[in-house]
Amino acid sequence: MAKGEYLGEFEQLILLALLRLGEGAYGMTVRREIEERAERPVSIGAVYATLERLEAKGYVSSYIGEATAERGGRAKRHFRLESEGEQALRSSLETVRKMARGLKTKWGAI
Amino acid sequence: MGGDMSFQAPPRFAALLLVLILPEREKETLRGDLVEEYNLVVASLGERRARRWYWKQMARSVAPLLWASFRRGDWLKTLGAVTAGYVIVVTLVATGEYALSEIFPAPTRLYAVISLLIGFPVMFVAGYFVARIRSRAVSSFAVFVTLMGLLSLAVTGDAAPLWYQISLVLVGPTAALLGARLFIKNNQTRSNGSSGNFDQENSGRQSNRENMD
Repeated sequence: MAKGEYLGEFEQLILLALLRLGEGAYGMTVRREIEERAERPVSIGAVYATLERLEAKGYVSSYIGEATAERGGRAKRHFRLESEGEQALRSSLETVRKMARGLKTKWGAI
Repeated sequence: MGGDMSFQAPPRFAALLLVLILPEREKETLRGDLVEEYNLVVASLGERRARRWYWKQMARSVAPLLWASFRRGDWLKTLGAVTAGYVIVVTLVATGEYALSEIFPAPTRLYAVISLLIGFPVMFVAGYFVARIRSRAVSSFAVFVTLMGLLSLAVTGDAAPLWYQISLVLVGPTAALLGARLFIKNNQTRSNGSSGNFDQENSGRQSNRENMD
């Protein structure tokens, strides 16, 4: 992985959420998925800003979906994880795993 | 999901800020996401808590969206449009003031009135121009003009009468916004008309012919 292509923690969470949600994921579902699973407050602005960055890197692609009444007639932007994104995520998680493997602190294993 | 599924509009004012900083591409989709989730929160927690939730989302979203906008370079374009608009203002106002000083050697009430009358069309033209080069920069331009008006007041102090000071701050942004509005309206009419132009032209020609007959 070239320098500058490492994933930040929040980028990892977004990519993991896209993996979990599969086809049809969009901003709101990504936000809720992270908030529920990671148990931390997430803003929709942060989700969109990160998705935009990931899209620019080629890790994610998006397409406009249907407009529905419960959205006030506004369309959805669906996001999809691309193979480059999956590779980057795998590599990033593997790096963390390697660093943590066999580590013990006075509070216990990591 | 369940609950009351009747559509509830979120606080309008809260969304205004987002509209100003969101790129065109995200305006509809992000606001749609917020509206959809707001209605889910209303259904599960009630309107009061949903409003609080909505405001929290807004407040937390501003910084990351501003940063994204900065990375995208949107701010540079807006800054460029605002600067260009203000260069027009300064050039035209300076020319007008020079001409006025030739007519009125000492500042009088009439001088102040004419100066304001010149300022209005100048700001109107500048607002139109800014909207033409970058419609998203219009609000920034209006804010900038207001700030410059306030700065000018701070510098002149009590030298100018109060009515003039208040007018100076109010006239600039109002005229700029009206100019921008005219451009946006014309643009919309043009884009709406482009699809129906052919029919309109034909029906126009036909009625002209009928008139001639």
